[in-house]
Amino acid sequence: MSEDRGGLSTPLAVGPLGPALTLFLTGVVAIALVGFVVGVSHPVSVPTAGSSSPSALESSEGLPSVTYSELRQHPIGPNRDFQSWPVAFATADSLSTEPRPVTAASKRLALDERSERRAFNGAPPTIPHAVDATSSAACLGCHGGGAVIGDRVARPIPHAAFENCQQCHAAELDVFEKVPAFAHSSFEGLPEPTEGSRAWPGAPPVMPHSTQMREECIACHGPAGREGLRTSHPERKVCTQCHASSADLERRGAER
Amino acid sequence: MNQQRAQQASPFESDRRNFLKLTAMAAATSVASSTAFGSSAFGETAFGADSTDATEAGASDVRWDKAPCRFCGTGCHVQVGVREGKVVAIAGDPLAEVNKGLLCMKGYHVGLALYGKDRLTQPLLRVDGELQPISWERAIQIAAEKIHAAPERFAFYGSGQWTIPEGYAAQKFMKGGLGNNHIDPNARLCMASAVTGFIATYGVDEPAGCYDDLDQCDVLITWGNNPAEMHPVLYSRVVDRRSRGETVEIIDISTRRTRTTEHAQRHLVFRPHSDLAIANGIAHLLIANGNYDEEFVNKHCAFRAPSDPPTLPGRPISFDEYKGFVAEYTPEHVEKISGVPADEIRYLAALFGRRDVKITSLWCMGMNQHTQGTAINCLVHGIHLLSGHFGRAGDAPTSLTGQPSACGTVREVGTLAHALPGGRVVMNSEHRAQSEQIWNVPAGRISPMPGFHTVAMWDSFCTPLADGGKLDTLWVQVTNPGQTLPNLHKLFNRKEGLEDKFLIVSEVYPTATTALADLVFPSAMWVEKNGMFGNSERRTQQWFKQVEPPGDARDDVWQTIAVAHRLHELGVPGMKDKDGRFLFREEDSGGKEVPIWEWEHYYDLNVDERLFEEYRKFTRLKHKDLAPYSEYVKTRGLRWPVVQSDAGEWRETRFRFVEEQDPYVAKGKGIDFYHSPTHDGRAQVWFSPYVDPPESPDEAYPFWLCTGRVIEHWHTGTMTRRIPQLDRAMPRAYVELHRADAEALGVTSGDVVVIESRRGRIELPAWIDGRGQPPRGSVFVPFFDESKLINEVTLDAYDPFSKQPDYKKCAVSVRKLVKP
Repeated sequence: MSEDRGGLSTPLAVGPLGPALTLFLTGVVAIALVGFVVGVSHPVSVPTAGSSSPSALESSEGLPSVTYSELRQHPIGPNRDFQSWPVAFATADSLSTEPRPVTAASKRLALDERSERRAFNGAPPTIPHAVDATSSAACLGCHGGGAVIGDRVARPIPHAAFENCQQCHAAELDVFEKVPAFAHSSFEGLPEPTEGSRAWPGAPPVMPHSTQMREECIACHGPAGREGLRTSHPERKVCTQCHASSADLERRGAER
Repeated sequence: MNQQRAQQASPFESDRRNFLKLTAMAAATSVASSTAFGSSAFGETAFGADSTDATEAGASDVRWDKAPCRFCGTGCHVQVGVREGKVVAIAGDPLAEVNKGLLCMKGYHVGLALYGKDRLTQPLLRVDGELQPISWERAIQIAAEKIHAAPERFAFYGSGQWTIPEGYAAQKFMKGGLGNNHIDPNARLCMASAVTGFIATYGVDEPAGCYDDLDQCDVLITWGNNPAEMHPVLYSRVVDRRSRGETVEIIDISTRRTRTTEHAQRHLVFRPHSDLAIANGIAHLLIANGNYDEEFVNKHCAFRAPSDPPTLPGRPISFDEYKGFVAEYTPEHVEKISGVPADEIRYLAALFGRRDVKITSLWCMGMNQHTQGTAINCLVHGIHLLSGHFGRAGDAPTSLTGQPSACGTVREVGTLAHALPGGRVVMNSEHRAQSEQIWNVPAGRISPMPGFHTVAMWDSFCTPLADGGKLDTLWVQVTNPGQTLPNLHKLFNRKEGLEDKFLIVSEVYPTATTALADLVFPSAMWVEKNGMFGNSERRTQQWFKQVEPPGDARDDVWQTIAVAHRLHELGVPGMKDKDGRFLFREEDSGGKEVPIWEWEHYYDLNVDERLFEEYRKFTRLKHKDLAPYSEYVKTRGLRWPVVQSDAGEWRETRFRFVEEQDPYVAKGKGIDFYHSPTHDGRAQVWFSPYVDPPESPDEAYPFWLCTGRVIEHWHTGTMTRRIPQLDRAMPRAYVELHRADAEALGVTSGDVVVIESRRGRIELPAWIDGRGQPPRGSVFVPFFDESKLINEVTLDAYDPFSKQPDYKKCAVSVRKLVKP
């Protein structure tokens, strides 16, 4: 079989059937699905240089096209660095190493990592990679359920999906030559909370943050969350059965 | 499971489709099952292991209070988190109807705007070319002496970011105190054409609809508007309906492809300025096809056309004359003018011809920054009226504003060269008398002559007195004209080195304007002071001071009152009322005067509340009734007219001119345009012809230049560029080029190109297929970057009625920079 398909000889495809092929093909399908969803959500076609006929497109003003076989050598757009990596959706296998209890150090690390991309606790995180697509479908392809791309983890979103991710999440622009920061800031944001209060040692802690835009506990505290934030008891599905939200935080400012 | 899947797939060639299906299912299942992951090996207490430095952050030591966002005219409410005297966090306010808990990237970071390290914290005076620190005492004295020397040569330039009390204090100081009408706002550059459009159509300013229309409309038309970046919360209010399974069709009519287009089903790209032809084309087809709303038109509309000489009210015409005028605008003729295919015009007209769909139009700078701004505003109102797409929830022509209080302060308080509070004008003797009565100043105090509008004001200020300049001292509050005026070389940069000109600037950061200032007042901003805004949907909003301003920075209202009081001490008669008391006299509950001009006593009482309660008296004339201050404290804003019910409740109005919604529409009327220019309850459907723009591309300057904004930065970026998260996302200005033009010029993204007009030149990196995509032959440049002043290139031609300049089109040349 593989000999017949020499023209498609990627290292993964010619190997024996098994996890590697499955992973690869899962990736292919996932990418195809993302592409399909993105395509469907773009009902307006990109205008092409005022040309209406295919023959006109072939003239000098058309886009230089690249054949499929050349695509790997001609990556397009700022996500190009990810293209050579298979995408796996967030699962137990893909995300966790062996189970480890949360330690002070792993929690600190997780909170520090969160703070790096947030101006304050509760701020929408900035996007740590360049983006060329603006539809939410493109973002949700990886961030909908969480995904592993190479050595990076795309965290799942903790709130219901909105249509315009880049309304709130700013991406660093990498198109032009870097310029120094415009000005320095003395802002010190509210830090990430470290833990919720407990009625007695061993009691389930109250949530230390508001649930506004964080309705999906599993996004941060589940398997795709950072190691230092993960729950010790993922088999329990109804978080709010035991963990009360903080009335103060939920009702902040509502007295006026 | 993997084994099974592999076996299933083994006859690879023959059963490939089945395999792919299964693989896809497996992938989907693994996502779904991701929540079923894991073991319970973690200790029960592990998650709280780090208990030594435990803080339940935000719960106990952060005080939260409401405020409207400082940035655009949407008017979102935020919750401001304050700890130890500093803003430390921001959250969307779930109780706010405007934004329902959501914000945009600017709103989430609005608290950071206060904390740029280069905040201005002390008054500065230019000595030997350098700004040197001085005391407030001296700063107020110098300003007062400059004004006192020649009050008639003094002008006040403010903005749509003035809070309502700030604008009101400035208005009263100028028109009621100095008897000087040279007060105008930057909103002249922003929404003046929307005002003249509303007045020419309905006889009274501001939209009849509100944001509720966005929840109800079946079709949203964006006219030269990019709300996905400029009013993101409003746009997501529409597109997020799709996530809930609703359908809403979006039609983007614009001169370039933007993020708004990404969500649109149809994109009509028109040649700059030709929107007039598109609107006329729709009107023509509605009549020709007989599917205009005859009943609505017969009951509620009259027709108008431009007069000769041109006047804002124009001249009345008959329906038949109107029909004759628009007949010229056949779809094919419109296509010829605009470049929009005739079938798209037919599609739009057919949509307007349907009664079973609800259509909301949105527009902002594209239609307002237009030398035919008044005309195109009128035409879009006109097609909504002609087709009866008016007055039902979801059927509305709605103009948006770019500043948080362009409506509340500029349009309602009337801080324009011709206006008085509450929709009054200085030319009307009754209006002057009413204002003089409320201000308790002698009859004749207010001048009947309109003052200088923005472009004229700055032209005059930059012209030496010897050469006919009429102004010598100019005070700027809450805006940055050194970056936003068009044709900056003529209207701002010329001031440099003029000995007889004195520029006072109240600011929070060093800007392109303070660069030429002679005296700088450091200001408190946003939640460092009490304030009130009025947003794009007639919603008046209030907030309290929540943190102290840095250093010696002080409230703008205080600055105005302090200068007024110093003039009072210098014996300027205008600073006294009819009874010889200080114009801004405030008393405590015992009737004793409180010296609010002294900073230490300014917050002895709530000056905002006092000024607002006085201003409220002005608001009844045009049925823009406002509630008492205390009602706004309790709510996330109320939309006027706010009228007290018999039961004593203050009730806001969602849809104006509509029975059962608007308390001023009598029962049985259905719809009543009770401020009709023709005094018969009718709105005016205007005809205005397409005319050529004042400057078009030619051989020497073959490209169209359009300027505008980006989502990261608000206006001139003085606040947002000091927010690291936003600065990194959009660190510099650029020029968007069409790929084919770029190829012809030999330019790729990042290459520096030279943009040059008859007025100035600028060098910018090119961006191809970037944030937005202009069509061939046109380029786009954002104006936020003070190191790349695109307004040195733009044109200062303006609309004849609104005096609003056109930043959206002029002719430029574009070439690759050749480094020597």
